[in-house]
Amino acid sequence: MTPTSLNRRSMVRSLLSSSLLLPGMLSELLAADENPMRPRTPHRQATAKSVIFIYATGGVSHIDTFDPKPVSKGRDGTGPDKLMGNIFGAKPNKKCGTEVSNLFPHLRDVMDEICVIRSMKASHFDHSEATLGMHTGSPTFARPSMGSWISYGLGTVNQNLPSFIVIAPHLPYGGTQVYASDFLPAIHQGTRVLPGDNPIANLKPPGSTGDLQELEFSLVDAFNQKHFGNRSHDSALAARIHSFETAFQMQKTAPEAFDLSQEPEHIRRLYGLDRDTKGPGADFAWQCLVARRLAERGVRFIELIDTGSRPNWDSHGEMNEHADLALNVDQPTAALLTDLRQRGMLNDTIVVWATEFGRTPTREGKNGRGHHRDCFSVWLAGGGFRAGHVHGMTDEIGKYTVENPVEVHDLHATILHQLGMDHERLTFRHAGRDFRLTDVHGRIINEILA
Amino acid sequence: MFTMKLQLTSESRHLFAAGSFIVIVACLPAGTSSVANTTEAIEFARDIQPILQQHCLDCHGADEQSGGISFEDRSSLFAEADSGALAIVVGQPSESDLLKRVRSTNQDDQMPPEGDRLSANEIHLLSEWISSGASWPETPSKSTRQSVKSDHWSFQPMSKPEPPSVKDVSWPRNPIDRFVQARRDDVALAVVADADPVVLIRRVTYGLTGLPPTPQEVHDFVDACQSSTGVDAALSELVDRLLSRPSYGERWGRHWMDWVRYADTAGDNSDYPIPQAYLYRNYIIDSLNHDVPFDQFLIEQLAGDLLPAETQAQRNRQTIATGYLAMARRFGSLVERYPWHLTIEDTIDNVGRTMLGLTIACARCHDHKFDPISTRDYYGLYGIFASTRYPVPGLELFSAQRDFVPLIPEPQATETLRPYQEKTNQLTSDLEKRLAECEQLALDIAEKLKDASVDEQRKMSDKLDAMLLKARKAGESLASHLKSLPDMPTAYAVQDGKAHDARVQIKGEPNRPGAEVPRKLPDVLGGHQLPDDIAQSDSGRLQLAQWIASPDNPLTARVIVNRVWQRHFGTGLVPTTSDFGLRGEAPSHPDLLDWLANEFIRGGWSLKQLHRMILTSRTYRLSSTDLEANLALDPNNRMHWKFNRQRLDAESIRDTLMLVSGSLDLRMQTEPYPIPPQKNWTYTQHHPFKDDYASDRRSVYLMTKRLTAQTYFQTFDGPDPNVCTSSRDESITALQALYFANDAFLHQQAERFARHLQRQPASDTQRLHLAFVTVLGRSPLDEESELLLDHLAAVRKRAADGDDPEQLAWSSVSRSLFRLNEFLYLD
Repeated sequence: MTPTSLNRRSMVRSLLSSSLLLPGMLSELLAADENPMRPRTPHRQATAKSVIFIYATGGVSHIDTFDPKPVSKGRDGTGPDKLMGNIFGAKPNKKCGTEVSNLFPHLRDVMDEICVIRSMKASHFDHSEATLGMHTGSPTFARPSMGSWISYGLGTVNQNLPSFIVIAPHLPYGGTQVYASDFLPAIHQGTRVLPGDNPIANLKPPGSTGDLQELEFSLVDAFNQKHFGNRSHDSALAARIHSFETAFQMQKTAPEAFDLSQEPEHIRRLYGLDRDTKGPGADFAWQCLVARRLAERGVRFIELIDTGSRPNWDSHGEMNEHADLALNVDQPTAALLTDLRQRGMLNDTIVVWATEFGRTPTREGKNGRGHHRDCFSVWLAGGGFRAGHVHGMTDEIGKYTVENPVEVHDLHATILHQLGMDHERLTFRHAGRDFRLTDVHGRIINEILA
Repeated sequence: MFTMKLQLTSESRHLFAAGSFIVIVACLPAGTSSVANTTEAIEFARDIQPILQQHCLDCHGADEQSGGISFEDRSSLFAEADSGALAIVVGQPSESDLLKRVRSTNQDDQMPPEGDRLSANEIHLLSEWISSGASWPETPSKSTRQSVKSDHWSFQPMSKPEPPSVKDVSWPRNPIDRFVQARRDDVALAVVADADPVVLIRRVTYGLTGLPPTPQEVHDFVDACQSSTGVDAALSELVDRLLSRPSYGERWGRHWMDWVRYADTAGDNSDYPIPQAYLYRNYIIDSLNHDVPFDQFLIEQLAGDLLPAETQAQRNRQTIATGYLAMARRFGSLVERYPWHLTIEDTIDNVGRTMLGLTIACARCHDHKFDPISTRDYYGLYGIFASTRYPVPGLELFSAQRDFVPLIPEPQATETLRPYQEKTNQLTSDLEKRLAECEQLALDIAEKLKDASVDEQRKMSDKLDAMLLKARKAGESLASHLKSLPDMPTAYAVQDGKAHDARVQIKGEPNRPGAEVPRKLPDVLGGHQLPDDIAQSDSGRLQLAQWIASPDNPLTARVIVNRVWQRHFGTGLVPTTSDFGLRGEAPSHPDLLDWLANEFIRGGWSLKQLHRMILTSRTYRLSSTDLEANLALDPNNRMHWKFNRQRLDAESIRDTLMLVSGSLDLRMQTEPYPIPPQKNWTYTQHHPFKDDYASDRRSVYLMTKRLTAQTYFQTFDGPDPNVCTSSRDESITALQALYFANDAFLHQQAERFARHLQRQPASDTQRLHLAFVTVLGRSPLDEESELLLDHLAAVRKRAADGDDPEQLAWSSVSRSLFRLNEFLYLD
């Protein structure tokens, strides 16, 4: 007998048959306040239910991607001022007119779904700090990640999958702090998933022990129920009994969520799943398609990190590195938007694309660019954001924001807003004060809302 | 024991206060009736007060005195503000910062910062008022700055409560119980019965050592409890025995490591390894095992390097102790513009939380919103640590250790380094000179930036960039030279640096220096300043340490006895163990807290004695059974009518699994981790230090990295090595259940345990008994044995065709026992 042949109903029955509780009482207990993951009603009517947060590691050049600047007026990097415009060429999207460089032809085609912010300001000039800033709001001190805050604020509808899943073939700058729950309860921390056959640790029994698992679980349950019988006011004990049921379910449902063999050919083609890819970001089609499947299954916050702390978009010496990376991520990212739209999921799913900072308008080294904190681009799609819109403007070389500056805290506040949460009210009391994702900052950017 | 006292008396503080008062009086014209030659005289109440009321009082009033300014406290307006400026210079509107700020359009300076600006007429009135003498009616001033008092409980001296009398005199075993019982009687809560001896020995053995009792120990303890001398003697003897084990220091050392956010890496963005950090870890463990008095333990960690030492061994021990301060987090990747202010903030944050139960670091950017801690208090402490030289563990663009402290006699160290010293000095002074130049230029630029054109800004920033780059290069030269020096034993420890007072950093930004603040303790705790001679020569760390560890400090003893209470009972008498401030929770038993703190001090700050008092109380001995009637009245058991059931922490789970399976090496880890030698270091934020080193030792000896937490410790609520972990969460997650179901490590331990069981020449029933009592501490009931025997039989049957059905069957039993709630929770 394999573990999958034991279905949820028989598992629950086996739990209850040996229980001293009346049938139903266990689940009633767990539906109550004790379950920190139960779905919660937000502060206001929510526009969106879930978030897919795409993070491009290393600092993507805004000038060569979503805020293209011309190379005319001698700005090709060879002049004494070293100014260098977008070296890849650019065209506008036919419907909305948003200009995007030739690095992202697929995304350019779906720009009419996308709201670009060209006036972001990074929280720091260096990778680790700015990466943490983008994820937690704090470039310096360890704080809970945005996904943890959202899980804490909203709970999750699928108790068989973690509420916050990070699909990351490599760790970005800042390491595990990027998806840590920090002082929020550990249940809200990101669960890191690796592309491949074993996406979540411990989903499969080792060796041949799987055959015995059902037997062992009923033995454990018999003991635990008896133990609980004398301690029936302790909801922690009940919750732990329940956690084995959830784990049992996860063994069955989680692999299914990650099993792309069920996807039809046209979807695989749309994402470019079977393309030949190599180098950093090579798994990105897998990541995007899995993200859609997780969103479908009710996972609250899904983060996709394309590359690790090296190699990545940090093109100090050679901007052509951007081209290889873009090739790997452009098609799957655009496909994700198309696919979500086709399934009617884009309206209540926020897709965010972000990086830690932009790159300098001046050439560095042979053909690269340095870190640029003062302005860079991020974009959002779905979830009630204003499609086909450009917010904020930089000067003609892409050095400073000249219109509508946006801070990371503003971005966070606005994402929370679309999920129905007031960023000033989503607080957690820790060490004597009420902490917020947005600290004491943050303003909702109404102009980017549909 | 140290008895040195701070020299500064209250008289001299009064003198200081009086001094500033004299200045104020001198500034004010004798008669404030003289009015400028305007058409109509300015009247404060009519013309000025409404302006202040409307625009200023929200942030500069009785409730909040942003920047050290209150418009309800006239003295604060005429004295130096936190920014270093004077809000009002009588007769000189152009010199008065108040007018500069209301006129400014610069975002950082303008007042009010948000909302309506002052009208031209209002500004005119203010200007006229200042010109004409800034008259202020003779109402009593609500002074906020010079006498900070608080009636908050934790700032009051400790009371000397006597254990109260109780109704049922047969119940208490020691004075703790009388305090608890009296409170319980007040609210008419019944108390549960005592815990079973088996439950008790499991509870206390885990509590003191983090490990389970052996079956033999359980057996002996149960016998002793049933003997004529009874539970009291048996428990007292058991506690003594456990306290004498090295595993006590390992368990409680781990608690201290939680609070001081111990790590083996620096936390900068390359997470540089600190091979010497383990010396500080072992110092902690040894100190606890030797029951070093807690006040001495604190003083050594804050200022061990400044204490006299009779032997090199003693000197080394005290040097290593300051690893506590060295352990503060590092940030960034560049030697130029290195953010020392963040490392010092991390220091103050930890000293505040861990030792004093105060969130002082909130005051870095603004006065504390809730507690009476001002920005000046923060920078008064800041100066002490800014006068301290922290070691550099290495960082991306300076990949070498610097300013570590030799653990060999100074002449020997000097001799070893002599051939290199000249070059070291030259490269060091080159770097220091360049850094100082950069710092000065950065300050100049910050000052000029507001009024500069874009072009000028660009020029200035290009100039600074070029200088910073040169400083970086100088740093790289020094680092590569340092890597070539001969190895010698060193500690990650601090030394005194150049003694100086710090300036306020406006809004916490080091580029915006404000008023200079003398090094001192927070006003609410006395505000002692350093005596002049000491301020000239020393950082003031020793004075700070002695004050923190003083029996007169109202916080220190209360905070540590409460922490110990929390780790034994699951919650503290003050539940917010790191926050005794206004936002923290009040103590459930204030008298007991003070009594314990007094006893602790009276007993020579002995932690072992404190454990003895707590663990031999009847309160500790209660069972964790529920009483229906009490649940409604006191669901969180704040009145201690039962014992709080607790989940094993991450370390106890791992150590127990390894211990029972026979794979735990119980020896202390006295060697450093096999971290590659410094000369090979090339860690960057792109390739941070990420090594892991497998170990069979106790979990306290596993390497802790700040940037890459181990999944296991994340899953089971391990400590956060970046910040004081006051208490461990006891979360219950599906990922934990998956760990118990499927993790390879857990399966390996079960298989080893299974082999151990099979090696016993015994029947199935006897082996099951051994397994049960090893994992759970108690013998199985008959029906439980039957369930297990049935399970064995079922597995054997199913595995009959396999390679080793016996091994499979016993592994299956072992795994199942590890998954029980009875294993994971301590009743």
